[in-house]
Amino acid sequence: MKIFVPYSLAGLLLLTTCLNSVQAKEKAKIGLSYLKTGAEQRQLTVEVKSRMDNRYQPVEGLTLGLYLENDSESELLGNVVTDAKGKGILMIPSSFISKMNEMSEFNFVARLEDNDGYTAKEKDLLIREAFLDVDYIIRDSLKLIQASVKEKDSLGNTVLPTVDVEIKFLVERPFSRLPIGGKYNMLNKEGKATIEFPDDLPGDSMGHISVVVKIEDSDVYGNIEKTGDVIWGVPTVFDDATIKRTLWSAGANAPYPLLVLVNSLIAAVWGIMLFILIRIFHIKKADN
Amino acid sequence: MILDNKSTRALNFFTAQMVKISRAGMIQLAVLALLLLGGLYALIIQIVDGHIVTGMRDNVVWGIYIANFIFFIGISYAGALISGILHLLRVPWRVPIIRIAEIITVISTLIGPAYILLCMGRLDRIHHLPLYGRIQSPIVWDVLAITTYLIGSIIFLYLASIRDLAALRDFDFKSGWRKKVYKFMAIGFNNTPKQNRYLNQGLDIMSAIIIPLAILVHSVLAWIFGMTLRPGWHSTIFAPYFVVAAVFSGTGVLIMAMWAFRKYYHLESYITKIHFNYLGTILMILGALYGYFTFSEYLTSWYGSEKWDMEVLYKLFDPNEYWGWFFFAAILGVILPVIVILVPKFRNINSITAVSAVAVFALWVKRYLIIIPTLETPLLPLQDMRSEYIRYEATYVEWLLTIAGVALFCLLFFLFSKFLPIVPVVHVKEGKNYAELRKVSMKEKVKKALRQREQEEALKIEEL
Repeated sequence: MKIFVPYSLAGLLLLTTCLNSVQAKEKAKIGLSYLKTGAEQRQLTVEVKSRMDNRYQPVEGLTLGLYLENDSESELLGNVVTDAKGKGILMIPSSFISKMNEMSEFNFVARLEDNDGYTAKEKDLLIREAFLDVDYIIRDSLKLIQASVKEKDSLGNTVLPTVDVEIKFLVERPFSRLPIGGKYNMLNKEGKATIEFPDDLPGDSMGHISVVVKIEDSDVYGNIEKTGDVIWGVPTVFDDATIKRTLWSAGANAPYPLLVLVNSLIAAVWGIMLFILIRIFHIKKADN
Repeated sequence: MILDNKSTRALNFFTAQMVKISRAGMIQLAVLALLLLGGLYALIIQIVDGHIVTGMRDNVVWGIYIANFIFFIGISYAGALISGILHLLRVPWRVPIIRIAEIITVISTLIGPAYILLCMGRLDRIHHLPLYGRIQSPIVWDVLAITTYLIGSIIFLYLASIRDLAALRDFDFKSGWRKKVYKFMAIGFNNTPKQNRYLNQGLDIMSAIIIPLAILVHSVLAWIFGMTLRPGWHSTIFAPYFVVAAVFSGTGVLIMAMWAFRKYYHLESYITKIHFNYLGTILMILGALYGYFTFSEYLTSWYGSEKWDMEVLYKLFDPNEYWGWFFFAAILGVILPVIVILVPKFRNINSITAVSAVAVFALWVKRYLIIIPTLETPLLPLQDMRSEYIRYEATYVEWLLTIAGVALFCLLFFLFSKFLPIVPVVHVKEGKNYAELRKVSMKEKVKKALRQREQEEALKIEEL
């Protein structure tokens, strides 16, 4: 009995330590999204978070493998390492693009291998291929933007209109994108959505405006985006001369009177202090 | 350097105190060291965990660190204005108090900006300020002004100490390091006419420029607030208001320091009731002026009835929010010093010191009330937010660092008094007037004692 007790305690201690080491592994939460900006430009974005201090926080430095899978095979598209925001982006290599062009659906998988800190986890994303076309039309002095989305039929031909999907129309502005059109723009039976372009948007000096049409965060199609330039803006010339030297401009463009005043004050005060420091030196010299 | 008898006596008196630390002094040092350790602990927590350990959040981005910064820069006025003006006017009674005032300036100008560093989220980017700072920003002006002010104050203190440093150099210290340091710092001063001329010239010039420099520093500090369109800050009188508040608190701290050193070093024959009375009078005038500015500021704001200004005012006058502190800072902290110093019956060294302490604490609270209620009143109303994002409450980390700042101030003061006499020991020609004042004070004391004796004798005769 005397021998049994210490051995039992030691065993319990060892078991607890082992259990703790097992429990120490965190569970990661993986997010996976797909963006198509052109036939040859497609990317996958992985976002990894983990629950720390009672909330989900990004995990940096994790390596995940991204795969394109079908019933029979799983091909590695590439590996990504998460950044400080827990994100990793992979531009799908061109070697896979031609293969994907022949497919109508893609099953992407983001896989986190078992490692010291996190348990193995994977996230899959099923995307149906869709094709976004944008037409810029002028009809009866109205400027229209028409988006049409199609997808492949069972034979692989791009003929089927995509319906009842929300589509967004945006124009690039200095700080963010400005939505135009209605609040919700849905694709109709023909897979089309049309909006009227406002005639009072300032463009550059020639009236150029960059337009973005996109399907955003669709469960079926992911993100599809197409950009184009139109000369439909109000030509706007910024008179830099009037705002060049203001209190709110960059430091290099501070108003001249302010520069003169501040620098004069600094020069005057520091000049006097320099004179006094010289005087202190004279005191030392006067001893001789 | 040859000294007169009076200077030699003073030198012997102060050097005897400089080389030893009494038991009470050791206890004080231990307490201060403990408080500093508490601050160090808080600092480590803040560095490791980040600013989440403070009460500052997205909305209230400034807390008691900024209140401390303004407070310390404010009390630095003691040396700049009082010492500078009294020197320029050759006021005879200034001699025993100017060094205390100058030390307050240097130490508080060193400690104050440290709170800015504590408040900054990305200290690793501090070099961006000189590299990419916008000269249009009052914050850049503040950095330039405070740096210049600090250097100017150090030069002023050094110039005013050269004579004493020379006397200490020639004193027979046992400690080797003292001899070396004093020799280096005395820069060969031997009281020659030429050296005196250079020194007096330097002192006069520094006295003259330190005054506008000090006014500029606190004006710039006020403009950081006044030039933003926040309720309670956007005011044209903020600069003079800040300047008056700063001199008010600076004078209060000077009186407190005088009282403490008078007690600790037994300087009753150097720092007399006259000094307390004169500085008390200055404090009273400044208190009245500060009260006037406060009344004018809030009356204008209240009468204007602008929506967001009124929001801040309601908070200040709401008993459930800041009314208690506002009453203390803007009313009690002004009226009490004025009444106590104005009425001769209440006026004595201890009462003047006590109301100075009240005024100083009230001024710290006032700085808190300038910053926090305004930041808790954003121009865009916040809804469905956690209360900590709207209401600010200082955490123990901030309090520990605040207390550590005060402890560091006291510690540096204490250490300085062990390095240089707290009262200038080398008397120059103008100091004679001060001696005459002491004689007048003694005569008054003798007269008072005689009157008291006469009254006692009269009472005895009546009893008989």
